[in-house]
Amino acid sequence: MKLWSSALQSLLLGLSTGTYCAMYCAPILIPFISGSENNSLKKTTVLTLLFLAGRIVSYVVLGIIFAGAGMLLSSFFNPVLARRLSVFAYIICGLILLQNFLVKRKLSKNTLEANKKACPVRMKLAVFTGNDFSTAVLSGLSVGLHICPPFWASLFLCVQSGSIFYACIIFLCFYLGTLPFFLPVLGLPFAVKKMPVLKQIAQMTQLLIAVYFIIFAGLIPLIF
Amino acid sequence: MKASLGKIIFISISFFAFIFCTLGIVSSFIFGESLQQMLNSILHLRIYEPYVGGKIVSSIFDPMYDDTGSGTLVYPSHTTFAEGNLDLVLYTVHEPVFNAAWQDFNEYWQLDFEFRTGFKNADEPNYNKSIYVYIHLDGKIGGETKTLFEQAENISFSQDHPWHYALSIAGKEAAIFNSNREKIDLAEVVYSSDGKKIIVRIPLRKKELHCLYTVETMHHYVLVGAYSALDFGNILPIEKRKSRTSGGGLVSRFAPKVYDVLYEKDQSQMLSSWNEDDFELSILYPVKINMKNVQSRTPLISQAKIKEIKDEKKLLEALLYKQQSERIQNLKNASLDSELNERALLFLHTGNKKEAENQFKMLLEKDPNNPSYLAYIGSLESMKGENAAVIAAVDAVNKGYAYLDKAIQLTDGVLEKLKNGEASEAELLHRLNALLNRGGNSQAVPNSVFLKAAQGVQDYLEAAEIAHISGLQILEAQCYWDAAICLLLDDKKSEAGIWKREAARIFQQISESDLENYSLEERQEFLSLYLHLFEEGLAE
Amino acid sequence: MSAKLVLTAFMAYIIYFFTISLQSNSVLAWVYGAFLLYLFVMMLFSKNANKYRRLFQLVFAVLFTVSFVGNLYDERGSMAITQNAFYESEIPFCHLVIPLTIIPYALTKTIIFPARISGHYASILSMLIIWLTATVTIGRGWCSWACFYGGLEDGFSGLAKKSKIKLLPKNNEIRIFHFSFFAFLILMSIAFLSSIFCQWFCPFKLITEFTPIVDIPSLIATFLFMSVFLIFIIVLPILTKKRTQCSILCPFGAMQSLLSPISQFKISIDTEKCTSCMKCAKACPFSAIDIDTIIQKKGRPELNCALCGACLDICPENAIHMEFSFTKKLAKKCGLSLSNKTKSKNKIAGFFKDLTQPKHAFVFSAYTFGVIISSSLATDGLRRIVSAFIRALSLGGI
Repeated sequence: MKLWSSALQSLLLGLSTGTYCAMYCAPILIPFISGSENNSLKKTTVLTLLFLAGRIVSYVVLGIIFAGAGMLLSSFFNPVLARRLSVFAYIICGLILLQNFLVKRKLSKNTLEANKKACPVRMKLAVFTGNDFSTAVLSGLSVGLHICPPFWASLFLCVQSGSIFYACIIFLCFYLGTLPFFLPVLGLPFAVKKMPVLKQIAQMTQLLIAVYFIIFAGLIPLIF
Repeated sequence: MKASLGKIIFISISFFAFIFCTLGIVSSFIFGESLQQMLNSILHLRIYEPYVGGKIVSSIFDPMYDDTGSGTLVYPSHTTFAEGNLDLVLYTVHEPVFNAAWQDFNEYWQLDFEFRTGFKNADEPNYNKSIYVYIHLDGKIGGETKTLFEQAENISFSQDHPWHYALSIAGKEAAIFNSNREKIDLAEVVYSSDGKKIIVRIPLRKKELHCLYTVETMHHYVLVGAYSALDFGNILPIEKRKSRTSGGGLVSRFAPKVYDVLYEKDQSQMLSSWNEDDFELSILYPVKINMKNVQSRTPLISQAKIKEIKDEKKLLEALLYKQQSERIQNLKNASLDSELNERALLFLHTGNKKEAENQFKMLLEKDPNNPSYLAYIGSLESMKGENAAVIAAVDAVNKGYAYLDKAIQLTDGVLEKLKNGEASEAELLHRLNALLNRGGNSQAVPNSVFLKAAQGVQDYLEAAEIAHISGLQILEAQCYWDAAICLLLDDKKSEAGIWKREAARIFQQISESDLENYSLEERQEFLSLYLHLFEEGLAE
Repeated sequence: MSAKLVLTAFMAYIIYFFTISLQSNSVLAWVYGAFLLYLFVMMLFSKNANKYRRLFQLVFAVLFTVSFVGNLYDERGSMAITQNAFYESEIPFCHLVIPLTIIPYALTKTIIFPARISGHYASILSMLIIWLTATVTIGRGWCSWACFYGGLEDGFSGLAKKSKIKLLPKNNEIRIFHFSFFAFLILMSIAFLSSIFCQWFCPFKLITEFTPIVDIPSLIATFLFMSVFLIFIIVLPILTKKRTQCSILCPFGAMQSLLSPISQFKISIDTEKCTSCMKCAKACPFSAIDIDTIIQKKGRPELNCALCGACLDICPENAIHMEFSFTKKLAKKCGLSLSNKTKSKNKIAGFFKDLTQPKHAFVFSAYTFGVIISSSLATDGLRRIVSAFIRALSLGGI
């Protein structure tokens, strides 16, 4: 009974705060998916699922670290720590998006071939990290470094549950509660098909967001 | 034929589009205030909480005019202290904020303090308050029952609620301490431009303060003393007589040195509880603050009761109208100025504005610098704008204000005379007439066009002060209510709430026996005010 | 001719009420009112309405700056935003922030800007009403007729005789960047729940108010504001003779471009009369007419047209004209041919036809907006300039 009530509590927590999760992720997902090449509903679904998978892996790893370090004794988080983690999340995410943008722009065959000959290893690494699928996973991983109070509260519930199995169920319910707010992303390929100029706009937006994340949301708060 | 019809339709629709654009644009500016209210009734706009201190969890009103400590204290004679400066009227606690953007601190906790009066002169702000907030966290063990700086305020705290944190606000500086009297962090103090409000933001960057995010209930002690840069605990000492460097009214060296404490009822008993024989200081009791699960309490208003009051008011108004009409008849052949004045007022109250204006203008001819005549003529001129065309309305209001401003100018200084006991009844009456008429106009004219609401607030508050000193309770309460209405027009909801509460508090002091001695007019004013307060849930 | 006289009379009434009567009939109000009326007459009766529009916007922008900065000094003693104004949520709400607050409002039911809700000319509600009115009437015409910032760029873009940098071939890229920057600002405002345009990118902080420099990030922000102002308001307009901030950065302009289908007016290009001389494309200060627009005979400028009328005035073939947005559909339904420009024989019908000519209707509506918004600010600005001048003369012993 206690498990079900905690699981329900977690699910409701996710549903009630899911808009905030979607608001954090929108600047990354929307331009990235709209600007990706050969976009289709299938590809968009795969990219979104990869992003969400990256996110949950990050959350689970962070949760284990915090629980192990005894930080989850209080239902409220350390906001200063959360903000510091977010700074790194922005820098990493910004670099990933920037890499993806540069690889997209350099997709002409001749440029690729020329660079492969010059430095095959570096080129292979760039294409690997910059392709859409890797970008989705890596950006999902970095977004998971954002800690918001609902996430912390769900981790607190997990620790309180007393067993690893229960903790997993509770956390899964919280995560499932946040997912419905990502459904609108699946409509993006249809919009881009109707107005092809949206793809160019999305790619430029992605570049601007990447630069903003790296400099204004990352380096400036980190250094100063 | 078909082509002509087509042309007519085309031109008509084009003409309609032309009218829509041109008149629409002009109308949106002329009726801007109404459109704004309509839009806000749909959107219910509010500012994102981290920008304005966080969600409000508690607002506690403290009674006005209780800045005398245990009942005897008077302010120092130094010019930095104006009457009411140390009279706390509203204490607001916000929810702690995290991850705030575009702020000095990303994590902070805000407390607001509002006082009855502010800076004497906006160009020479005086930071003359020394405020202490002692915070008890429910459920936390330990704590202290003595003050941060012993013997500074000369009080002690209830054993049930020892404090865990102390916020000390001394002039423009502030700091937060733990119960070991160690400074945790500095806080930021910001004064509003008129000096009536102090906003304190406590940064929550230190781990020791993170528990404030999770605490469910707290108890706060809030004390206000006079600021001193040199004296112990930054609290100005109290002596028997006031001086430039000390307050007056000391009755015992065990008496508290604070002028006001946050307490919803009469504080004097609590502050007089010291015991010289046992060497005990007065024990203070805190106020409870709920930090979580705060629900706005909208009181249930009985519609039946509202109808009852309205019916009673109608009856009274009918009776009054009859009485006033009979009196007008009786004064038909009046020749004395006082009778003519009375007649003119009766015309005004019975709605015969034209006759009232004629009478007042006749009287003004005889006595051109009579402030009361000027005030009433000003109101009547301004009222002509109510149903006039737009340009004529603006002219009427401007003309009206010319008279009203002159009336105010002629009666300047009456309040100071009254405080010194030198004002005559006639002077008081003229000043009240000038203030109430100008205030009434400020309430009535569109604020977005004339920007008179702020002036209306000042006029009504001055009238309220005159009424308070003269013991006119209904008038005092009514003036506070009207000041609140002007503040709402000026989008100052928080301050409006303070004056509404004060109006309600004064109103509650009016006893049934007092009512029996009231004239019909006074009873009518009483009922009007009762209706307003009841509709807001501020009266029973 | 009679229709133009009637329009002039209506405008005189509007100017009298808003500029003179509401400003207490002061001498300077009369001077400004006369200036406004003169400009309107020239717009209607001359063939160069755009020139007088630019003059109006330039004068308004300068007087607005003087008035706004003067008021800040009166209220606070400096242009810097005080903590008190921030915490009490009394920052003036300008129209540039509106696009960034809409989606966050929809999601959080709060406004992510610390401004007064009502009770002030620069409060949230008053700016929303102005914006809604502008959107359903003149659309992006706000940018060229009522915006109190745009006049500065109009002024600087008119300084050089010839453009040193030709932006015309890059119009499409400029537009894509403009909408990308707009999307970027919207998404960031959702993620951070703050107006990052105001925090980092607004160039007009230099002529309105700014956060004081208290640490390195605020120093960086100030450096950015100054750079953006210098580059996009002064240097680029001089070099390109275009309104570069308006066509590259302004989020309000981008939003109004997207909402332009709602407005009552649009510009139409008669492709049969057009000889592809490209004069309109070169003259357009908003980069709204591309080479492809003319070559592909699209029949209208691009989405970001701000209805300034520069193309109307410069076209040698009179191929460009203002239309009501419903004109073509309505004409089709009424069975009318728009190419038939013969005058009506019926005098009354002719009068109404002339009166409701879209160009006249638009100029009247847009100018009304400009007159009303500029009235108190411009008169106050004039008053401050005259007072300063008199003070300077008296100090100089004259």
